[in-house]
Amino acid sequence: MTRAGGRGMAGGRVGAIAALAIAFLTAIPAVRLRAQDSQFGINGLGTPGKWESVRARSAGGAFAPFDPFSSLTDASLVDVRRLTGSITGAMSRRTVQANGSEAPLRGTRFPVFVVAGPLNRRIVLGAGFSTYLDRTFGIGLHDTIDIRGTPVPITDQVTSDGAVTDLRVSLAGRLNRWIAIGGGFHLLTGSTRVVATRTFGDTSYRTTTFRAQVAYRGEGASVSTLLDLTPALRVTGWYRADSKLDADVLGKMVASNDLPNSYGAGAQWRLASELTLAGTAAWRDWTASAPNGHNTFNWSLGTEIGAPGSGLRLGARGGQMPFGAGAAAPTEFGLSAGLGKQFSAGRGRIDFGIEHLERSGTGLNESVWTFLLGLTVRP
Amino acid sequence: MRYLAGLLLVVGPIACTEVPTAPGACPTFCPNGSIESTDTILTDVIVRDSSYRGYVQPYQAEAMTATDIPGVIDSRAFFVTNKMFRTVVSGLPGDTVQRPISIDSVRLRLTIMRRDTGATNLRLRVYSLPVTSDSNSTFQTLDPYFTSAPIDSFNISAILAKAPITDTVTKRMWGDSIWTDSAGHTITVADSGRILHLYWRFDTLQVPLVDADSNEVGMGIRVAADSLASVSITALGSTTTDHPQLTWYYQFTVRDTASGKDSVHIGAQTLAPQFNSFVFNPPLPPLDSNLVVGGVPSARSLLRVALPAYLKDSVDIVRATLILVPVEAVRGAPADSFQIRSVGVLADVGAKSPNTGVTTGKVTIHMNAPDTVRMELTDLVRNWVTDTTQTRAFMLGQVPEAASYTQMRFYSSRTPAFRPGLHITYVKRYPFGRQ
Repeated sequence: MTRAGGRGMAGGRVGAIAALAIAFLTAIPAVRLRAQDSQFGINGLGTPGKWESVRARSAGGAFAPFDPFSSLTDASLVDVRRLTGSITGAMSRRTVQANGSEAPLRGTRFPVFVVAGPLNRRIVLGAGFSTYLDRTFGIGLHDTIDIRGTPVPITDQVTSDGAVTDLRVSLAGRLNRWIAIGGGFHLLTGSTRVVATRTFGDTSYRTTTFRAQVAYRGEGASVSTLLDLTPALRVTGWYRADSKLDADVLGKMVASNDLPNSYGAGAQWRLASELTLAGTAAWRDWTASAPNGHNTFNWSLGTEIGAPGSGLRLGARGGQMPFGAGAAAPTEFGLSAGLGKQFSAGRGRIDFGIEHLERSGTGLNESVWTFLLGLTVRP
Repeated sequence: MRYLAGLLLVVGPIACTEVPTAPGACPTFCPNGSIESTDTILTDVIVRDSSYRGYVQPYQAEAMTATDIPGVIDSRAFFVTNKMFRTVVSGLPGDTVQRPISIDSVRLRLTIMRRDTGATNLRLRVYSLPVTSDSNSTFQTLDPYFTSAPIDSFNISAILAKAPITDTVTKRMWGDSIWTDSAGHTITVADSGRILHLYWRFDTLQVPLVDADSNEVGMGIRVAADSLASVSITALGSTTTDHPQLTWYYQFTVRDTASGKDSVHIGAQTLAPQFNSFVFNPPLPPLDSNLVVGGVPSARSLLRVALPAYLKDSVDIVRATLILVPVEAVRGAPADSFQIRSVGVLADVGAKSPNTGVTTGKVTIHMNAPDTVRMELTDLVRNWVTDTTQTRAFMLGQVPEAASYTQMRFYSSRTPAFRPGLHITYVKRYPFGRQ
């Protein structure tokens, strides 16, 4: 009776979790939802996405190269022993300070989805999507221009809704007990719906609106390796090269921009059974991508306290943003924390996280609070 | 799990709300592309413009203009009523005998739909005209009748200066307060005093019913004032029932065969005109190489537009203004200002081009003002750019048509220095996708 009841409770819990998961996943209408990303990316290719699961991002991103459900590296997929899917959701509140004024913004995004499973004992196949470049923004501009010899107030509004999405197919294999390698092919695709509107203060002039869907296309490839130097110490390194990003409007290419090569390295040290530290460093060369592009270096440090996957996560990150005015790249610094909760005997996990970012550049400052919610399901 | 579910419920609404737009810190943190407005006057896009006359005749107009501006214009209205019967059936049960009527009096109603309220000593004079007056009648042929003694004169200014009669009996009879004098002239007003209904009372000596005239009556109207003598009288072409009316009050006698006594019955018959029009002097100049709008019979101008290719492809027109240079100012009473409207044509077949019936632009033309005329045609031109199947031509016409001696003459494309132009403000296509 007790065992039966226990199974019933377990079954009810699984049902509730499944219902929540279904609600969560089916509430995602598309890869993109209308949202606001960094203002620093508007005058550039966009804002690079964070290829991190909630677990990794709650620790400042330090665990991302070791986390199979972060799409940063391919070799980390080797740790997936059963078919597993994971999705990340982020809800952010952002405050932009520019020109002496402050504007609050909100947005929702689902930046990472990964599903992976082993093909055999040594090889794991993974696929999914992540946000490569966020192109969602909306700006309003008030001005007065001289038309027909008369000053006329105008309001311009340009909104862009969409992103460049990285569709990834990866393979990871363990060569021996202490070395694993991975590689992936990346198809960059996606589109933005751009609406540019000018409204005149003089109603003799009609409001003008231009609409277009800008489609993006590019390719990329990535390789990575994972070394288990000791049972407690792991290091990793990765390299990724991306082609040009072509932008098409109605089938006509309107822009083609170089995409950066990126590389990085990380280390994870399990100090105790319930204490893990990690740190990463990554470089990307954006200078050829846009006139205001900068090479970026980003670092992160984080820890997970408690059972792996279910503990308390803390982290810090810092580095640079790729696009900004002036000779120096805008900078970013963030702190994050989060919790994970496994359920159904480890077949599912919900992760919560919160992240605070401060971005600073010439003429613009941003403060971002992001609530992260992740769901990992192993059917 | 309950806590998790609760948390999801809390954050769910947050996920559904957003504030997407922030003030732009341009140009540093704005898209490279910007919205650019450009302003240009196209002086050679109005082509093959022509004028045609004869769309609305004066007897089809909604109003007749009576004006007397010495040295400028003398316009006179006239009408011929329908036939009045001379016998009547009493309507008594079983009585089918046609009995002769005897006219007691006549009431004339005219409606002034437009007048210069600044006019002083404004008078209308009624003249007797031959019932043969028709569309062939001219100012000259009718002039002898208009220069003979009038039947009566109605001093509008003097009567309006009197106190209105507002007692309940009067209001019940007339429907509103009235202004009147001792000579049988009465005024009621409508539209806050802008429209005047004038009532004359005539006897049979003033307005006789003449068998030789087929029991029709011809009347002419002249206006006089110390200045600004111009009125528009509602005509048969009006959509209202305010056209001239002549009401005949009559009586007839029925003899009682039993008692041998006569009983007198009264009746009234209101007749509308069978024809109304107006004549004026000096006559309008004939059509020439210029563009003409208005006049009698009404003239319209057809303007064809050859838009440059760049306006069709890559810009959005936010304002389009037609520029017309008058040959001369329209002379007349200030109150005779009128509107010119533009209407798109469905197919360009010249003078008889069918139009859309939708006014796409209008402008008021004031008397004695030679200023350049500017008419907004934004919606029309935007439609041309959006729908390239549309005929890129429009017709200019007067509002109301053929109701006045007034007409406007503009320089056409045949006069290069003053030809019509199109002032276009457009926004260039936004450079999508460029970083």
